[in-house]
Amino acid sequence: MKRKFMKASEQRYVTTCLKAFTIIICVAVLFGCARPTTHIKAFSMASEELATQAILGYEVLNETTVQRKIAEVAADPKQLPDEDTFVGLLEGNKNLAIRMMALDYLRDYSAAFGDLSTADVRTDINEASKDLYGALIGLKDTFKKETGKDVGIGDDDLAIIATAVDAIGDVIIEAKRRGAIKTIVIRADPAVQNVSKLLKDEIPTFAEFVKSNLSTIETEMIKSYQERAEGLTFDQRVKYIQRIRKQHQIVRDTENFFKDVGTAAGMLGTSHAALREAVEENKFTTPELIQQIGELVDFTKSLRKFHKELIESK
Amino acid sequence: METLRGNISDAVNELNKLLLKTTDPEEEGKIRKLRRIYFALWEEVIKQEIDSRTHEFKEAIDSLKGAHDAAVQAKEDLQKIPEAINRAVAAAKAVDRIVKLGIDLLA
Repeated sequence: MKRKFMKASEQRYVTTCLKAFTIIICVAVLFGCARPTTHIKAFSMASEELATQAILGYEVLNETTVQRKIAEVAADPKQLPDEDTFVGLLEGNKNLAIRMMALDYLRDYSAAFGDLSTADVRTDINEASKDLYGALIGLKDTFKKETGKDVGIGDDDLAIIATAVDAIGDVIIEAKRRGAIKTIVIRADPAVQNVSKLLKDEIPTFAEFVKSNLSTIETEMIKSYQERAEGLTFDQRVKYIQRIRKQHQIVRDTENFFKDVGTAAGMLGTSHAALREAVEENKFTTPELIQQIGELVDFTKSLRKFHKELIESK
Repeated sequence: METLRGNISDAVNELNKLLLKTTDPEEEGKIRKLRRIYFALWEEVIKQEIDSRTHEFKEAIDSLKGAHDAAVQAKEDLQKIPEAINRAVAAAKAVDRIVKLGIDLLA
């Protein structure tokens, strides 16, 4: 299971790096382009990436729990691993799993409305709008299941969005496309704000749990070193201590990482609100929007850095 | 506002420090078992909606603080480790009265 996770994490990391690189290139290229909706595309890509990083935050919460349990079992020769050893916090917690699903839908939403803003042919519009409805319906149902409250988007909103997307026509008319994007952003905004707030408030509270998971692993590494040090050569001891140091750095950085993931969840809301304000005035590119895109891209960098360190520490 | 999460976190961190101090296998075993129990209780606290206005909640917070203080003292004076372990057991029981996990606690 661990092996499988590491592989998946490594793959995700490579994908994330490629995505980030693409975002930076796109932002640079798109800022120089004329089509008004191109900034919407850059914005949606950055939001999509940020949602991915927030999802990784939950995965770190889950995975460090399993790693800690493994360290606990390994530290006590009388203990044997059992099924529970490999159960992370998410597998055993329906509420947390639902939050990850909400983030997934938020990411799909960002991607779909970005695709809609740049699609060149009607079939691509249809594809993007299908993804968009799926994401919004998913967001609506998931939030209701989790909190018992309405997320802020109803069937009437979805119908209005559908009508606006249909109005783009078979031969894409830019004015109609902008109209559809405006409708989507305005109608979806309450849902984005509600999910963003829920996650922003909650994610930082997991920092302590993850930190304790990781410091427990560090403690057992030191304990193991204490017991074995006399039988090791100088070089072996140095190598061992370097491993402990790496773990120590990860423990130290955890708090900031979760603070940043919480901020990332909040930024999904604030940046969407900035977008809403812009489109309400029929502006699809404003200095504020350009600044938001820049901040979103910058922010993903620090999150990726920690995730990279965590993978490398294994 | 005081939270169970925060106080459990403090207790776990002190248990880790105590574990590094002691070389007594029996104490090491007890501390590790306690730490596992605290993590299990912590997971339960994350899953459940805890009412912070109850008498049990206040008792659990006080007990966790006592366990934390006892562990801090035991780090300075290793003779006090058994007392710190007892206080940590009492605090775990106090938290368990809220989350009702029914974990097999140390005697």
